[in-house]
Amino acid sequence: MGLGMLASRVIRPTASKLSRSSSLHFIRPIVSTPETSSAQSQPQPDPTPDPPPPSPRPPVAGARVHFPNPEDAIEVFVDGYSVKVPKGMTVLQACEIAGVDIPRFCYHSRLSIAGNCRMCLVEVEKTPKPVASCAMPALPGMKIKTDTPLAKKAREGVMEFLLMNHPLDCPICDQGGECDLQDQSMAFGSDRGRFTEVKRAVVDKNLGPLVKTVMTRCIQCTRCVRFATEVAGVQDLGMLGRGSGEEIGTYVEKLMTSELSGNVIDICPVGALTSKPYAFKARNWELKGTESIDVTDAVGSNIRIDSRGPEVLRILPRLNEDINEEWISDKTRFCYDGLKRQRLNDPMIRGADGRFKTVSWRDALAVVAEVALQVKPEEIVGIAGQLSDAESMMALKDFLNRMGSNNVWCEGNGQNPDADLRSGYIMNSGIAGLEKADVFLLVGTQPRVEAAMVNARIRKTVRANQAKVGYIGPATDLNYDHQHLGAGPKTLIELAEGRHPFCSALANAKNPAIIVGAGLFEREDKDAIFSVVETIAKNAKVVRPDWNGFNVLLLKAAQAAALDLGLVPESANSIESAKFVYLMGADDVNMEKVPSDAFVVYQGHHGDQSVYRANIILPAAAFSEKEGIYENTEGCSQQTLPAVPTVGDARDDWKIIRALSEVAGVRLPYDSLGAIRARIRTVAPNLLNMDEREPATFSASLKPDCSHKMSLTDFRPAIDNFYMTDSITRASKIMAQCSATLLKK
Amino acid sequence: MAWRGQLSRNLKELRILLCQTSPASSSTRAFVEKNYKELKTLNPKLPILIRESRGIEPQLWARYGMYSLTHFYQRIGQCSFAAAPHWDYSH
Amino acid sequence: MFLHRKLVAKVIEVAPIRVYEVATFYSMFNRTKVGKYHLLVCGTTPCMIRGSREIEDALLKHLGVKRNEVTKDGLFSVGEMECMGCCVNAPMITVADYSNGSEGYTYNYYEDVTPKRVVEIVELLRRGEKLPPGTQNPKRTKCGPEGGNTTLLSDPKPPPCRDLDAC
Repeated sequence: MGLGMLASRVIRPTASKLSRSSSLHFIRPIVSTPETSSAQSQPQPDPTPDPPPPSPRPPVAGARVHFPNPEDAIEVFVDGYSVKVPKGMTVLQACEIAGVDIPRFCYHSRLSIAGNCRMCLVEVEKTPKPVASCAMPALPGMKIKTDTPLAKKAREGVMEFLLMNHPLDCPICDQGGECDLQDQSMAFGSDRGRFTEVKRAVVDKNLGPLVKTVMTRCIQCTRCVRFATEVAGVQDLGMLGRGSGEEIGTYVEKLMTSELSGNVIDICPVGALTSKPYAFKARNWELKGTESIDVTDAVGSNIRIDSRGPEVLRILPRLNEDINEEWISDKTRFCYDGLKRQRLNDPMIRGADGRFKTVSWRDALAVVAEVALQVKPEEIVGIAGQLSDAESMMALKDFLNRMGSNNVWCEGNGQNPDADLRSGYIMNSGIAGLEKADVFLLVGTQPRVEAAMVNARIRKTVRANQAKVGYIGPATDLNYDHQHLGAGPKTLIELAEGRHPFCSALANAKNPAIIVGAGLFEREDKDAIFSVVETIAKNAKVVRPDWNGFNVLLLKAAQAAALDLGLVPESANSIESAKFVYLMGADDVNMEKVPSDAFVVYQGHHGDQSVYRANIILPAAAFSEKEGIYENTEGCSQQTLPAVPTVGDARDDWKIIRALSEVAGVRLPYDSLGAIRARIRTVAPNLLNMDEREPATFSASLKPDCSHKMSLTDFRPAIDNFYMTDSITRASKIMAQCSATLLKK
Repeated sequence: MAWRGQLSRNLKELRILLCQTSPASSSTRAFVEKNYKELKTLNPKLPILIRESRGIEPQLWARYGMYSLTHFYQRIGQCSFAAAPHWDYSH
Repeated sequence: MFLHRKLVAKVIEVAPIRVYEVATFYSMFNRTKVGKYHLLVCGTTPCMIRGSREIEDALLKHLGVKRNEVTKDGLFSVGEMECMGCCVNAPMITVADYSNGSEGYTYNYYEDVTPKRVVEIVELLRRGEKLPPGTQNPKRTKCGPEGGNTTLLSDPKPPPCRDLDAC
């Protein structure tokens, strides 16, 4: 702030006292015309004739200004500094760009504007009253003052009203330490109250096993109501009653049946909605935050793992506009208690009596290597699990290749994956790119359970652009308006031949997007289905130089990286003749297909489904305990970072395979994460471009024509239970409660 | 050409690494666009992995059984595919 | 004659919770069953000072119900409401008359009531007799003072022209 500005601010109150209405000194003079203001001999609001300097402060939270049309830029003045903002922005957003953080409770950048908390009051020159900056559009030449005595007094008044009915239970409140009300009352609150009546109390609501409610703490900001209605798409919450009887409630006692319900915990500015599993577990300042990536689905939501000592205490979202914005699904947020249960912590060998016996790593690896060397190379099979990182899959593939076997794949990709062209298995428009689409065709995918964040993005597009959605698959609830076109390949053929009414919607679309579910990878006729979908895409001009709307929505975190690395089995039925099966965290493999005399090695972190068949167990690290690259469904690679130490004697997956390769006499040439990544650079260098989406340039039109026949069996849902899809979520008690209470209907 | 159909007899995997936009990769991109369909039709079981990554120089990798060989090339569009046997051991 | 929220939601094509929000905000939406004659006692300050509590007690005692309960014969129910702007004739009650269906619905104010008078009103209504709405004090006309006007008996003198400079 310049000295001149400082001076003018000091002088201005005096100016008002000297004006004509000095007798009514408690009323601020409102200067209606420039003439009257110049008639005063006092300093002008702008001390210099030069244009005010741009704000020296950086925008709040790195807010970016995006001008859709440069002519729409208007200039406003925040605390005397000039700032250029696009037309239509609110005063609050203009202040943020000028680097002034306005206190607020009800305003949230991703929700509609309510304007009911009144905390964001600022003074605007030439207006009689303080204005709620979140709801007031910025107008050209507006002079906004954010730290005048008037604005401060207004906020103090609002704060006093808010605190009137707010309980003084911060010491037992889970929001303590990260509470907006607590923080802002430090700035605007009084140290004593004038309210002598009895504080109101509100009955707590039951919102299910994830969200704990203490409704007496609620300040009626309605963020949760707006979130549920707008983002989550469940019209369950509402604001009931009026006056002091106002409360958040549901229409007839009802649980919140959304897969995004956990986000209301983050957006609640007070402790009214808190995490039920995290209740009374820790204070936020005791926690160590580790920026990591979610692996429970293929979206790769950016998360922060909060841990204390060896324990993961909670998972919170991180902002990533391109992937998850600032939301995460309930599965991502609450799967963490699965990391403590059913863990494998020592190498174990199944004895003759069928029971597991703990052994040393040396013995375990020696046994595995001995068996592996006894069988024929083509009888060796390796399967990577859905939570595997790219490094360990690289090691597994290299190890098996060196043993002479080419039968290595990743579960979920099917027996006959086509990994040649990346455009054939990634989301080519990108997750954020879906917002440009105006017609969606969902083929055999139910994004609401397969990738909740992608579904939220589609819902956002449907709400914002009235995009049409056509869906092919078993009937389902997608929390936005959609046309159910059919249940299976028959409808696809109709669409490809132009006989279906939805064809005209696709043909007239500016940016049509087709999303194919990865559940179809498991079908025998997947090549035929893909070729029909490609025909539809061609007819509707889905792939153009400026727009690629052909998308595959993957289901599992490891899938994209596995295909990138070329984890493609040489023969589709190799598992039926296998003698040595190496499961690297693969739990969704049909173990009945494995011959009874096969030797099964299970390397992983949870005692899950495959352990029942395993002959030997090698304990490995979970995603929260290791550094590893994961590629998400849109082809963006990101990495996890270790938040907590490994359990027991567990090791990183790639290290186990590296050690095993040495015992087996085919030593892999890398001893460090850096070296294994150098190896990945020669296989799929795009995996090393962290946090950047690598688009695929070659479209499916390069593919040879498909001669397979399509069967007419209807598509099946790829995921039966949203809450339990992998070994971590299956071990989680919270997820078990969710499936019991929320999926019942 | 006969050798194209023979590829999968000896090779286990073919990898083409290139950049999406750089001029250095342009001839490789043209090569893929021209030859991929034929190669894949003749060798349906051979994985021909085409991997794009910003700013890398075009490379061709081939895996024969247990080991990988590489060939860095600039002008694969001009040179005959069969006449590129000077590949180095990588490890 | 109460609001069926699910039906309303269906007709206007919104989620039931949106109807419920509005219905709970406005006290004149009845969310529970009410009698054919729904008696609403004003409970806001002027009426309360002039004895609305006693009025309500008299009604409840006479009908033998609690607040917001319906009598056994389904004829009467008693509720409370906010200020109706009849403070000059406080205390007052309102009778929402549903006995003639939604077409013949009336909503009349009975002002200057006493505990005795409200019981009489109830009995009149029970017999189906009509009684004129407005003040129940025979000595008053509308909101005029008891016993005729005492002030403003002649035409008032107009104010002098406003002298803005003098302000």
